[in-house]
Amino acid sequence: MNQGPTLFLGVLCAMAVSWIGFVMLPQVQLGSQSTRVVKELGRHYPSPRGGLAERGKDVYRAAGCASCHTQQIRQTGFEFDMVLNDAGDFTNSVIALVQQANRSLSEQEATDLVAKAPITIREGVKKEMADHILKLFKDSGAKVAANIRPLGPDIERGWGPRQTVGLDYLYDQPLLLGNQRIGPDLANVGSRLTDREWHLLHLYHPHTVVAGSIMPAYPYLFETQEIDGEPSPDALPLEGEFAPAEGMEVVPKPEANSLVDYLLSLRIDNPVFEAPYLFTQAESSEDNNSETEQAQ
Amino acid sequence: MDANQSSKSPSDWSDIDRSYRFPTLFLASKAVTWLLLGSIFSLIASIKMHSPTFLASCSWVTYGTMVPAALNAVVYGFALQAGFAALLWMTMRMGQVKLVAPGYLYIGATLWNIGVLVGIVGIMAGHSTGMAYLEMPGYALPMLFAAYTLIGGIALVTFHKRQVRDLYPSQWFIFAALFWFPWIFSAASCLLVGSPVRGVTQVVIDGWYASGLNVVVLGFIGIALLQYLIPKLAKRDLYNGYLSMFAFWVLLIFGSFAGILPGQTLPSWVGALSTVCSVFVAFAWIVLAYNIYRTIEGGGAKSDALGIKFLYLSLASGLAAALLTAWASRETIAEVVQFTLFLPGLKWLQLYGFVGAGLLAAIYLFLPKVSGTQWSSPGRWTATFWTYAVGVLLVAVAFLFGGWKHGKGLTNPDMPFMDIVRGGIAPFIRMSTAGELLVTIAALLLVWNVSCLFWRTYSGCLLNCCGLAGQGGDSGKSQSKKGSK
Amino acid sequence: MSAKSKKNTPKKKHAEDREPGFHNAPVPVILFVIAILLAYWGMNYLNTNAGGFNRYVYGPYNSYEVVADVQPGSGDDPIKRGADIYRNVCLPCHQASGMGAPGQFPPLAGSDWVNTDGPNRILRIVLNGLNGPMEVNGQSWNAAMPPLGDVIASDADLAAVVSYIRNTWGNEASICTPEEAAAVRAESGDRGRSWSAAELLALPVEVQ
Repeated sequence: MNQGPTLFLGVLCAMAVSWIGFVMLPQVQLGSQSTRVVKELGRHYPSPRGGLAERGKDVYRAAGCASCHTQQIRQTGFEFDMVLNDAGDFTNSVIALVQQANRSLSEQEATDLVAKAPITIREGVKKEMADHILKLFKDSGAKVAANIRPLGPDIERGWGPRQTVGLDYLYDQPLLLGNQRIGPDLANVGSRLTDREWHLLHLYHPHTVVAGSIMPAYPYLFETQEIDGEPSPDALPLEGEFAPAEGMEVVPKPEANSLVDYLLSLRIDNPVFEAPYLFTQAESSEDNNSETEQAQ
Repeated sequence: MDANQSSKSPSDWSDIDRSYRFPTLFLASKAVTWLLLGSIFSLIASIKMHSPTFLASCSWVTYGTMVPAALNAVVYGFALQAGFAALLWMTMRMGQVKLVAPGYLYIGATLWNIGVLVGIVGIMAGHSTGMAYLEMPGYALPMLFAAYTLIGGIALVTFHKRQVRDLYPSQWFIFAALFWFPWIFSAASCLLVGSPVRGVTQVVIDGWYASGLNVVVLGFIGIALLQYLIPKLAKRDLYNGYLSMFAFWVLLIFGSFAGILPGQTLPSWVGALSTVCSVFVAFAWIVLAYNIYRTIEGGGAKSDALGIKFLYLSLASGLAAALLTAWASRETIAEVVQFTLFLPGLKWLQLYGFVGAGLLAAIYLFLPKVSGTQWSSPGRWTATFWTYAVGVLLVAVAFLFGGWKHGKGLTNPDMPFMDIVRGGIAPFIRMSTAGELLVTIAALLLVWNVSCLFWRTYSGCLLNCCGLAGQGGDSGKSQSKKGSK
Repeated sequence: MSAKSKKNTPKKKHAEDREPGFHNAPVPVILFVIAILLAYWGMNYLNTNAGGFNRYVYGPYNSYEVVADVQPGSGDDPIKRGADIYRNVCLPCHQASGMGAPGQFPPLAGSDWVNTDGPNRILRIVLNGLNGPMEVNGQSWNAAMPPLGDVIASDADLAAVVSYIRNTWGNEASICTPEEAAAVRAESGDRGRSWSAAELLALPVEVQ
């Protein structure tokens, strides 16, 4: 390759291939995604964040939280729970089929299960077995469903009920997905850690709520001010070595409040087409109970 | 068919070298200053990990601003600038042509530095864009692009005016890097910062840009240096130009998409395609390393012991980084190392170990030739090498091993996160802080070395223009005013 | 090998500063063998792990068909499921009664477009949208229906909502199966622009 022009043409072709393959085609495929109606929610998903949460996202970006925290949940597998929804009319043959589907059941146990329908008859089967069991019950008159359950260390750790997919980030600009987990994943933190005060204390100084944390403190998001007669209702309940001087209190600045609003708006708690799981209405309201960091 | 250029080499390089004196010294001195700044930022970030209240009251020096500031300072401030200096010098030497219009180069270099400064200050002020390798805020990017137009333009014109028309393999790599950078930089700036694409496409394009920058632009500059300097020091010819050609095309076509490990929030095809590209890149690297191995095989002592040490460090790190990336791309391994310290470990091997060491070798070897002055303290350079090498390897090994432990902890859902931090993250970050301290010391020594050279080169003519006339010196020194050649 | 060492002796005794040259020795065949094996491995790997380059295939799922198959409630009664989807997607315009709105949205109840022998045209309208003048039950309408192929991403859902429309409000047409929906989506899903009434009338009512 001794000629400048030959080299130039070659490099240009390589550039074209690279650009078309890795920029244009992904944009055509992924960039044209739009919001979608999710049956379980009965509305379009995702919805844009509220105003304060958007400003909180700016604080998140400026402070560079994405250098330590990801907002991506991974999934490494899936399995099914077989549920008998309706035993139908021919209960005797259905009992026999239930025993076939789950060989660890005795006849008495199988009869009890059929009587209590809808009930799970077998948990944790792979797809081939699930298909096989569905075929078993096909002409029996009973209604059997295979409910999918996502698997993966992130999901089992409680970081979220399913993996995150492209649809979840349609309204984010810029995407702050992060690629380091020096701190826990935050994709679903709004459902896991719902206590506002916990977040404010954690931002002020992580050691107030998590002993031994390596997260740096962010006191510049807070204001240490003199107590003016009555203590402010926003003042943080700090004790011991973290408490401010006598007669002073620590109040969150608007940046701290908007950042916490943003964190509380981070939720991945409904299924989507790409990441299905069985959604029960009760789940989403129960998840709103406060959990501490230890429960992760 | 032997493209042996030694028969055509001029007997005295000083005329050609001197045309490039001020711009090289300018670029190199600014570059090493950015390396020092970048390593200080990196050190601050590292210290914050075990001392949460260290500099905590200022929003300009949070962990999340220091890490991108360090990365951008080292990539744009040090690596690309020193890279420009190195590739201009190689173009001149291999083409045996004087630098064309050095005045414009000086303007371009100044603009580049202003752009990087504005960008780093912007990141610290909280205007980071959030895109990896492109965190500098939008207002800094046009300055960089304009600066590059000048620098790249000069490089291409100089290349075009070369006397020796045959192209040595390093020149293909240089040419490709010169074209690739503005292309990916402008595309990424427009699609990620200027008029951002929607959704996870940003992650794909950001990954394309980061890979292109690492493997193609900086990687090609590093490879060009290896393929030029190692045979030069060994006084041998490159073993086989066709092997270089093979590696060139493979890296050019597939290099841009290596390194996006599977497991991110992207459809499976992105991770799978990236894995395939990473394996191809690793194979091309093996071919390159084999080529260099055959070149120096059986050879005697090299003409510069310290220079060759830098180059061996560079070669070994580059090969290791490529192989480790390919290994980590496999699904079962990516499950463990994705999102862990393993990824910064790869980055340290690639950026500091491979590109950084290669550029330091280039600075060490060609600044004396260009300026006509020798280094005043070879001992200080030896200290620079050892602190740099030990520091970089310490950080890289700490992150790679730590990342593996970190990842193993993450894949165990019963292990509480704080236990992972205590066992798999904190001790290795402490080790890396020691390494980063060493790298900062190395950068300090480097700045000292280069400033000494700068002073010794120009103190003569500074004294001259301050009226100490009669100090003739050789024609080169007294003529070397700013950009007047 | 000896030729190499001969060539490496510089012809002239230069100062240290000699520029390197390079040889163009023949490339070992093993390089091409390995390259071809790697290319073969690469293609195989993409076959198994790239999920068909489909935008809906993430993580542990291998293909779009698997994702569509494992959706919860896929075994449900399609009419009931279709009712759910109709309520969320179609009801705002075509109303719960299926009567639409005069001058704006054509009726689905008793429509001659819906009560055809096969669901081909209706599937295409839902996937890609419909624009321009059309006649429904003898009345003229100016259609402006947006594409919903991405909104109703699963073939089972698409078949369900079409089945519901064809079997409610007195309509008595055939059920649409997920296979038919998949076939039509494969053919025209990526069309990118709406249909016109004339184009649709030129197509058969049965799914091919």
